[in-house]
Parts: sequence; structure tokens; C-alpha cells
Amino acid sequence: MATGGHQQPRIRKISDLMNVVQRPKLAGVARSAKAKCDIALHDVSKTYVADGATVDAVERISVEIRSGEFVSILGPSGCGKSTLLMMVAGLETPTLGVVEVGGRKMTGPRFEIGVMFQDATLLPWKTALDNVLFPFAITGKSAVDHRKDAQVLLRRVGLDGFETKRPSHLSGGMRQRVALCRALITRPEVLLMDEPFSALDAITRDEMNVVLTNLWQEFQKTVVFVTHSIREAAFLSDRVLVMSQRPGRLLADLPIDITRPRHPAVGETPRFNEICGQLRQMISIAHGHAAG
Amino acid sequence: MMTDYVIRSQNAVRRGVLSITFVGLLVLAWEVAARRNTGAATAIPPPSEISDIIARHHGLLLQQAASTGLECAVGFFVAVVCGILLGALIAYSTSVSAALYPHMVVFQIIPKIALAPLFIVWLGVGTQSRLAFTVFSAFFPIAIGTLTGLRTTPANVIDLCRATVAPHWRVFMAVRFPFALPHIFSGLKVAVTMALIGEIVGEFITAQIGLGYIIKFAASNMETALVFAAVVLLCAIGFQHRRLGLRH
Amino acid sequence: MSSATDRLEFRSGAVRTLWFSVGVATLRAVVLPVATGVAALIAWEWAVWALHIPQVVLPSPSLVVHSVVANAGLLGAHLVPTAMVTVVGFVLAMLLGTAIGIAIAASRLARDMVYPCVLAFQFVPKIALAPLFIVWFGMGLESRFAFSAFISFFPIAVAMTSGLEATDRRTLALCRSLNATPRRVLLHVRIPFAIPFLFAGMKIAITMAVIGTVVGEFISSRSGLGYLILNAASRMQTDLILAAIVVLCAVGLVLYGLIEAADQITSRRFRG
Repeated sequence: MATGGHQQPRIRKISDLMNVVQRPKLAGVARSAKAKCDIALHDVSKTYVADGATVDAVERISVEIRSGEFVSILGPSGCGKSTLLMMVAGLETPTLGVVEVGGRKMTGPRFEIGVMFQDATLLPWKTALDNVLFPFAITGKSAVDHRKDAQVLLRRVGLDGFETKRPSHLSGGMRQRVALCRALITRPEVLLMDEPFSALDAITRDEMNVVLTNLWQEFQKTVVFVTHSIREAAFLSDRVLVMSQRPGRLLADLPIDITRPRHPAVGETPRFNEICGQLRQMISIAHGHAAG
Repeated sequence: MMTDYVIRSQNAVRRGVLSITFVGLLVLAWEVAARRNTGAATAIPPPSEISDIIARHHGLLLQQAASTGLECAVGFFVAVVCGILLGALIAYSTSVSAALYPHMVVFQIIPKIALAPLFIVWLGVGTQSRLAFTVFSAFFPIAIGTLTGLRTTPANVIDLCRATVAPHWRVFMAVRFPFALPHIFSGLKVAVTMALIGEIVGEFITAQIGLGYIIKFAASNMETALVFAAVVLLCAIGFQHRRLGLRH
Repeated sequence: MSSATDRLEFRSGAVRTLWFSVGVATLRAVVLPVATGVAALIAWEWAVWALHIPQVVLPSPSLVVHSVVANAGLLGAHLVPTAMVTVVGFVLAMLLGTAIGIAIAASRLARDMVYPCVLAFQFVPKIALAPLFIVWFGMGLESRFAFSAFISFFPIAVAMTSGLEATDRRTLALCRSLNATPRRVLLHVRIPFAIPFLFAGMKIAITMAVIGTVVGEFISSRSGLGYLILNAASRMQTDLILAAIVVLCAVGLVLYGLIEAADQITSRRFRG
């Protein structure tokens, strides 16, 4: 977790961006011993054909994510960040390059990698508790040992007393909380989240950010979080990767040096707003970069 | 948005090729099996025999097809006019629609086909009874579709209309009717099928003229090839009517 | 003090308004159609009497009711084969239709080959094939079973297939991320999602089954309500025709109502 306090250089031109990207890795991290939950992308590209046209979704992205890091991928809509996440999840295969999770090359989806989507995708005929236990039901594993965990998780996200409710009785925010518990019930080492709070209203979204950060504080998993909200990325993560417009390239890799644990009040601090400003600059350069 | 995931559209071509191959193989197998086993040939005649019959009796078949097609089409169009008019009239008043809508739904569910003999009692065995029954069969889906379409204009559109001071009929033509069109069209789709069914059943029981009559007659004489020939022509009529009805 | 009583009056007034509007809504939805139906029957009765319409052309409602009661035995005897053929045909269509739907959903190959044929068959006016079934199965009950099943098979197969295809793609992506086997996904996710679609298909199928049964009886039978109607028509016994039609419509409505009831009960669970 980054705790440094020195000033970030102001970004004025593309070369400044390049400088930020090429910053040396944080000291003290042993590179030779790869921990179990490392994520590594080596020169990953993705091209696909849609409606007869070739689309370069992702272009030559290389990044390394350490175990226990919370990393956000920030970028404009359609820049390929979801595609990138799907490649880490094993739901898509890269056209070029290699994706490694836990030191092993990704060849397909893994049960141990938790995924959360924009839509909660709960099964309407199951209760909240059964929805949390869905990963076991759908793979034929016994859920008996995990019932207690499910109840604990639901309580943690504030849904105590809602275990027997059906999704139709839950609000959008509550449904996403259930989806979050479902992603965590398998005790994944890696949690991948594809704009999970984008469909919620602003107030619920802020609530969900607090829920997520508190939960993460406790479990300390590796998280890759895709979003197009600057404030959300800055509040939640240790590191923000900024992607350009399609074809998606990695434009910046900004460490967020705000101390943890983070409370909602952090959003008012000048440091936070400065970071958001930097990110905003990078995004606008990203927009301009595509046009120029 | 699923646009970030791979969209496999090459499958459309693959699907088309596979299904055509499948059908082609079926037809071939049908032909071979029927020729091999002459006993089964009466049950399911080979395609070659069917086309043979069509070629030999094309005059008769086309004459009957014309009768069926014409009666069906006329019945359908009369049903369209009556259905839309009545649907629109009923839709005008909330009370009247509330009063009549459940009855129309019930009429849609009950087997109207059972009333065919009644039309014969009333109008005799001839074109009038068949035509009337076809109109009767096709009428209800259209009326219900029109009624539903006109009564379920989105609420914000209605508020918009109320905000203007345009006269009722203008609002109707410019706003409510266009919004009702999808419902009307789905009613038309159902009505085309019902019109053809009504016509065929009418021909079954009046046993005078038309492809339905040919089918019944040929079946009673075990001339299955002729039955199939007539069915093929009926499919052509049905297909044509569908296209007309949809393009309307 | 006066403000409290004002508030009380306001609240009771609001409650009264609420009850009034609820009353009006019920009036609209239930009483109005029933009253219209009754009014129509009364008008019919009066018209037959006032205009001296001969009973052979249009019997009055009272005569129809009398006919139903007087011929109860006859109607009951013919009701049994009609109802039986309809139900058996429908059940057969259900079994075959759901099986084919699941098979098409489970196998890509089956889907690409078979489903376009099923869809293309909707252009065939299947009613016209009724005499063919008599050629194949004879004049007995088997041909009517087969035809009734044949005609109600297609709505069910199409509904089942489209229901299985309609599962939300994100849910399927979730299942894939968990490495769930396709069989499990089919059983635990896709089939439950398809149930509302299946019910819509079943409603169409049951109406088609009744129609198929009646048409089968028109052209080949010596029993059943369809036969009775045609027979009565040939003897110009219009009151018996209408009596049989009433019974037949009751059968159709009851069967449809059963499916609708089942749909209502399950939809609350599966539609969420």
C-alpha cells in the first residue's frame, strides 16, 4: 500500500505522461518471488470482428498488479477496459500477448477468480442467501459449509434480515451488495469488477463505495476495478491505470498515496481533489490523444 | 453493453448452410424411401410424385387455389376494415372499452371454429357463408389489437396531447393512431393466419370448391399425392398473404 | 384545537375519496362487462320475441339454456371424447415440444439444423393437414390424438426454444466465469428463465388443441362435440347447435383458465 507524500509532477504534455508511466517500481517489492495472486499482462492486444468491421479493442498493454493491490482502470466509454477485464477473467482470450494470474497463464475462466458485473444478475426465484451461494449450486459443490460465511457476508454489507428476500423486494443497491457477497463467497484471491456501481444513483453509489472499501480493508484481496468515474477510482484504489480511447492503450499509471483506511470525508480533502484533477487532466489528454 | 464482448456473426451464414443441407438431405431421403417402399408411397408420396401431380392437374388446382385465395383475401380485408373501425370506435370511450374488452378477449379464446356450421345454417352452402366465416375468424384479433393499441398510448404522450389544444381527431390521427400501429400489426399477423384457417375449415364442411375441399376429397379417396399438392399450394397462398399483410 | 379537527376531517375525507376511486375502478373492471353481457342477453331475448325471428334461425337464450338442460346427457356423452382428445393431445405436445426445445438449446448442431425447419413450418396452414391424419391413422381416436398433438406442438416448441435463448447474457457470463458445465447451466438457469415464455406458448397451444380436436371431429368423427354440432346443423336443430357451442366454449375457457392460473402461481416465483 502506497503511503508516500511527495508531490506529483504536473502533466503538461504527452512526454510528461510518459514520464509518469516509466516511474520506477516502488522499492521493497521482491520481483523474483511472484506471489499467488499476482496479475501480469505482457503486451496484451485484443482485436475482434463485429458487423464486418475489425475493431482494435486493446493495444499492447503491459502491466503488473501485486497481490493485495486495489487497482482501478479508468477510461472513457468504449475504450476497451471491460474487454481488458474479461481477458483477466479468462472470459476472452487475447489476440496477442499473455495474461498471467497467480503465475499461471490464463487459458479459461477460473472458479477462484471472482467477477462482478454492472448488472447484479441475481436469479429472481432464489432468495438473497441462495443467490450468494449460487456459485456452489451451479457447479455442483456442496453449499452447506458455506451457509455461515454467506450469512456473515450479508451482515457485513448491511443486509442483515434480508437473507430470505427475493431480488424483486430488493433495491438496486441491495442487489449489488448481494452480488458482491456472491463474488466473495468463493474466497477468491482476485476480484474483478466491471463498473459494478454505474447503474446506481449517485447517493447509492457513494454508499456502495464505502461498503466496498470497508470490506476490502478486511479481506485485502487483489481487486481490479473498472470504472469511468474519476472520484470513485481515486477513493477506492491504490493505483489508477488510465486508458486511452479505442484502441485502448495504457496512458498513465498513477499511484494514489492517500492513507488507508479511507473514510467518506477523504473526498473533501485538497489532496484528494488534486489527485482527481490530475486524473481529469490525463483523461482529457486521452481524449485529445485519440483525436490528435 | 455487450459490445465489448466478441460478437460471432459468421454463424448466420453457417446456420443457413446447415439448415438448407439438412432440408436437402431430408427431401432426398424422403424421395429414396418412398420409391423403395411402395406401401409407404401412399402414406407419404415422394416429392417427385407430388410435383408430377401438380404439373398434370395444374389447371384444376390453380382454379381451386384461386377460389381459396380470393375468398380468403376478401374476407381478410373486410375484417381489417371492420376490425380497425370498430376497435377505434370502442377505444373512444373508456367505459365502452372497459365494458367490451373482456368480452372480446373471451371471444378470442373460445374455439370460434365451432361456429362454422352455424354460418351454414344461416347463409347456406356457398361463398357467402365461407366469406362471412372468414371475416368472423379474422375480425377479433384486429379489433383487439386496435383497441389495445389505442388505449395503451404511453402516459407522457397523453399528457403532451392534453397540453395542446388540438381537436380530438387531429390528436388521433397524428399521435394515438401511429402509436397504436405496432399493436394493430401484431393483430393483423394473427388475423392473416386465422382468416386462412377459417377459409379452410369452411371449405372442409361446405365441401364445394377450394383447396380445402380438394384436400378432403382426395384424402377420402386415399390420393395422398393430390392432398400434398393442394397443401403445397395452400402454403404458397398463406405465405403470400403473410407478406401482403405485413407490408400493408 | 381546530387545526386538529381540520386534520381529522381532511384525513377522513381523503379516505372516503380513496374508497370512492377504488369503488369506481372495480365498477369499471368487473361490473361493467358483466352488466354489458347481461344486457346483451336480454336484448337478444327481446329481439327474438319482438321481431318474430324463427327459432330455427336464431334461438333465444332461454331456449338455448333449456336445450342444454334437456340434452344434458347427450352433451355430456360427446363432451368426454372432445375433452379427452384435447387434453391428451396437449399433454403429448407438451412432452414433445419441451423435449425438442431443450434438445435444440443444448446442442448447437441441432439448433442450426432443426430450428429453421420448425420456424418454416409456421407457414404451413396445419389445419389443412387434418384429412391427411385420417389417411394415416384411420377414422378412430388415434388420428384425432395425433392431429391435436401435432397442431399444438409448434407453439410450445417455439416458445421453449426462444425462452431458453432469452437468458440474460450477463448471467451466462457469470456462469462461465464459474466454470459451470453447460448441462448445469441449462438445468439451473436457462430452464427456469424460460418458464414464463413456456406458459405463453402453452396458452396458444391449448386453444390450438381445442381447434384441432373440433376440426378433426368435423371431418371424421362419429363422436365428440364437433360431430354433434355438424350433425345438428344438417338437421337444422339450431338450438342444439348453440347448446353444444356453449358447452364447447365452456371447455375451452376452463382449460385456458387452468393454464392461466398455473401461470399466475408460478410467475410470481420465476419472474421476480
